[in-house]
Amino acid sequence: MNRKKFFTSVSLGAVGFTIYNSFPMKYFSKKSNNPNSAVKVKINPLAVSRNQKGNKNV
Amino acid sequence: MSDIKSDNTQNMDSDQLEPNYWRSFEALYNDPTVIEAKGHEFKEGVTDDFSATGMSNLSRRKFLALLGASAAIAGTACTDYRDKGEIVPYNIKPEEITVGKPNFYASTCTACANACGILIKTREGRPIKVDGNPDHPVNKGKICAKGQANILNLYDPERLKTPLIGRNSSFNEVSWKDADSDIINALASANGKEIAIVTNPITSPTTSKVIEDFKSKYPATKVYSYSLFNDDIKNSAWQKTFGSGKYPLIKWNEAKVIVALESDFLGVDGNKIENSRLFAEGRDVETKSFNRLYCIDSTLTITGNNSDYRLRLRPEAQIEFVMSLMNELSSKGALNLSVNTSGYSLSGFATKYNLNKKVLDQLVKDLASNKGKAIVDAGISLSENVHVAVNLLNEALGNFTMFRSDSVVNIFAENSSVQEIDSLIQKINDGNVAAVIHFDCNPVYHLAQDFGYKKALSKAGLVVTLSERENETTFVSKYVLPINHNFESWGDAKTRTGVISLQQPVIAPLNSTRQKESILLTWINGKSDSFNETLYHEYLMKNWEVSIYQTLNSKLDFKRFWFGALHDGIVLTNDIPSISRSFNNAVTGLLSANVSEKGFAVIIKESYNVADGSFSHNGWMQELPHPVSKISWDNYAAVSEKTCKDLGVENFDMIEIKIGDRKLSLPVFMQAGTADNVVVIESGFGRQNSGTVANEVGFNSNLLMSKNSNLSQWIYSDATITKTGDSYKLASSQEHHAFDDPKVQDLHKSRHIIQEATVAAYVKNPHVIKEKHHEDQPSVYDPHPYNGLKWGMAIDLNKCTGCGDCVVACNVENNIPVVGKDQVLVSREMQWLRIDRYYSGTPEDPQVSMQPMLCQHCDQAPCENVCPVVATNHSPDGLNQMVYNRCVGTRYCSNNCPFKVRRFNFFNFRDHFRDSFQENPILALMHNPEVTVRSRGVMEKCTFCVQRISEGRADATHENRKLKGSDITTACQDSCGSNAIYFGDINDKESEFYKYRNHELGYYVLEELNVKPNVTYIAKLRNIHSEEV
Repeated sequence: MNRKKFFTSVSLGAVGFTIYNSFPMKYFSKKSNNPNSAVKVKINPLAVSRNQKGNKNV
Repeated sequence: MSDIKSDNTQNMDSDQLEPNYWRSFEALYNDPTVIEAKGHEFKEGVTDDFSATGMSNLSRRKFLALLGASAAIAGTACTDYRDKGEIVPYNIKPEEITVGKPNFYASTCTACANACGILIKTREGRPIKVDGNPDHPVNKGKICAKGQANILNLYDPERLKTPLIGRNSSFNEVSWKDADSDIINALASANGKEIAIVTNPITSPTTSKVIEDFKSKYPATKVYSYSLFNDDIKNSAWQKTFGSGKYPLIKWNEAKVIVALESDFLGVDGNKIENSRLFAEGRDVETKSFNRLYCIDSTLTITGNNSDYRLRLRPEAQIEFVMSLMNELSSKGALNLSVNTSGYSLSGFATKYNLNKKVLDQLVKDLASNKGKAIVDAGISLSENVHVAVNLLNEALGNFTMFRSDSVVNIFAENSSVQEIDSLIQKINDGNVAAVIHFDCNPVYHLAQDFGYKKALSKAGLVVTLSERENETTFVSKYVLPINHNFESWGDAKTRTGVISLQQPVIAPLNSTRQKESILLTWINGKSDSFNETLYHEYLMKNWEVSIYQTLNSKLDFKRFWFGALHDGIVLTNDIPSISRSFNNAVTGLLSANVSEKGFAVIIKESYNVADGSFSHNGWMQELPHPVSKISWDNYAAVSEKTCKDLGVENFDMIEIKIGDRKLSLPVFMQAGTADNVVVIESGFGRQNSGTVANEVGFNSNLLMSKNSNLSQWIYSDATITKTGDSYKLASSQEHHAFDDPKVQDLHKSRHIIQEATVAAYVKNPHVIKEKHHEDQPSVYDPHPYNGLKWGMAIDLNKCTGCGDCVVACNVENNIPVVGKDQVLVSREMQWLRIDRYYSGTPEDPQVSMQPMLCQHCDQAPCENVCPVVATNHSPDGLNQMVYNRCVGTRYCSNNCPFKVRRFNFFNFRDHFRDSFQENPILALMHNPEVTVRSRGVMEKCTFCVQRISEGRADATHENRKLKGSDITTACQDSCGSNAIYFGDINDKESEFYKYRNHELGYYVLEELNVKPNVTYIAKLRNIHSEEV
């Protein structure tokens, strides 16, 4: 195989893999299964925390 | 068979008389094909000669090209792995958070009406663990299994997320604004018709005030309160006996003799955390001070399991028993009674019910000689006359000294009577109720069918249900409004005089839910847009400032007081309980033992695990083995062996129980220690429309209940039982005990797995247990010197009640999945800690021994020697540890473990259980980030909470000090209400743990195997009379 044909094959292969990887299979999968996008964890700013278990205040 | 035997004998070598072993009938009868086959090493066709013509024509180049293309396609197609999200640093870090460090929030548990103080552990804003609040004077840092498992309810994927409106048996989403507008209009146009609020008992002073405000806004409002299991009969009997007040709290720790009549005070009666602690204080091996517990009940309970003496008795006979007991004490001059008991005889009673007379004699002696130091307690399910008789007995014995005077139970409103509930239903049926509001309760499931509540609801003007999740009541409601979880809510609770606890939200609502009180406040305001997130918070603060803060004479200004109180979770108040006791002689007229005992007695009990059904959807609670039967994922009819024989049924046979026109079919379980002709069923099962986990699990015992019962709403006489002919498999995590098989009978005692003695024997000879010890045996291994810190555990079997709270605590701490009934049936439960229950004696009167069993972290661990990949090995501080990434799943370690405490992930159980129910992304938020989530093919087991040890070590290093054993507590230890578990450094002679590790009653399980365990068990002492020793 000559040099030019080799690089052409490698380039076409890389483009093919990229397209294949990004389009045909993922098209059928769910749009997002990222758990963090489904639920927002927010601390209640009015709650009062402590850093240790046994730590009485008043 | 005889021919074969004779042929076989003929084939023996006449000189040696060796038997001729045979593997098949063909071999035995010298089949020619077998003789021919024996001449060849391999079967025909296995080693056919190589032939090039039979090979594929595919060229080498083409083969490699196809191989490469396949690999490339597989590689690209399989890169769609689950996106776990990015880990990004805080852009604006909340002030109170240190990444990697937990925060604790004091709050109040609302899992049951006891309202214990809790500390919620959060990591980066996610609640991940619940422990008791050590500052709370009632539960003192401990919390029960339901309180622990409540965290699963927060992240339950099936929680209601938005308001729903029901149309033609289907539900659609509706906006809060539209729902509120419609409901406010309906309430405003009630036109004198009643607005009914149906609720469980209210423990919050501020919620109580919200409801009062609601009544002011809508004067036609009437509140109906109910609880499936309650103290109403006990309190009513107390009022009738002494004129006023409620049944007092008991000093269980000071009682020398405790007589429990159908009372499960260590299980489901009262506050079990407080009761267990106080009871265990009275069984102390250090002071050698032991109370004596007599149980007279119909079936084995947690309390019965811990009794020194137990008698089984039908519940209807309890009144006759108490009267006979009083007569016996009176005839011995121990009592001065204002009631004539001469018609009763204890001896005759013992004969009639086949009770052990020696035990009854001991009971009489103990009560007579411990006047003022004993307590007789009747269970909440018993009828009023039994409670009155018990009150009279305690009064006559001077046992009022055992009642606490420092605090009494606080009740904001009495439960509605049967007549009041009936009148509500009548009014609904007559079209006189404009709206029924179910305030976080499920009356369609709980109320007896003969109330006709469900049917009546169809005639109510508007039915609104405030609930966290779907249930039987939401299904018949027009509006279903989702409410915040315990950990998303503000609130307060006052269940005792002298203390109020505060509840604060540790996480903002995960869904579009609202605080239930703020829903009512919105309706009080009369405008659907008046809701805001701080509506109830501001109301709560205002109520505290006006009603509570003023009474406390605090030196702090309100804001400082408020934040301090939120920090602590409790405020101690100075309200003094008023306890007056003036015996009402007229009450003796109620004492009559004319109760018929026809047919079978049916007892409906609160479930240890799922309570009244409020935890049916919680997989951890469903899978927690029943503390007595060890059955999970079901309820059943517990009956005695004799009754089974009489009925011609065996374990798992289905029976139909009929009481009047009410009937229920469910499986039989032969429960040792159950009174004959008694059926005990736990409630909380057989749910419908209640979600993936709860639906169709077990059988609905509420179907047997009636509003009309001559004993109590939980005990029914004159039931009939028929065998249906079907069977139903129950899942037990412990094999059914064989009482009559000499090979296994009392094996736990003969192998010294359970070592017990009596208090008298121990006092006489403190080395009574040590004498059974095996001498140190030689080992093929050189012992490893542990000169520094070395971890160990001690479990005091005198204090352990076998409740299983520690099992759930371990589940939560260590991310242990739910596996489901199908997997429990094949012994694949994943709990790292189990409570072994052993019986000895007869099936009628078994002696029960409980033993928490977990990895013993043996110095010479047999599991370590057989692991081919060194996945299980030993740490320098004595931990038997697992390297999950190394484990290849041979299961040799489990096979070689004498204690059977290793658990194998036969599946990815999160994916396997209920169609990937636990794979829901929201449940990932519940995981303890310090503990690896294990997947399929990996072995796991107790780690002694190594993540806590690591955290403690890091803290010690940071503070430039040495780590001490007492710095670390394990999750099971933290949860144990009776303080039976001790953990620490085996080499720290100053520690409390050291005392137990080297206690004269201490022993190791299977010591003779020489594996050198690091869990010490303190032998159980039974406080029976010395003359029986």
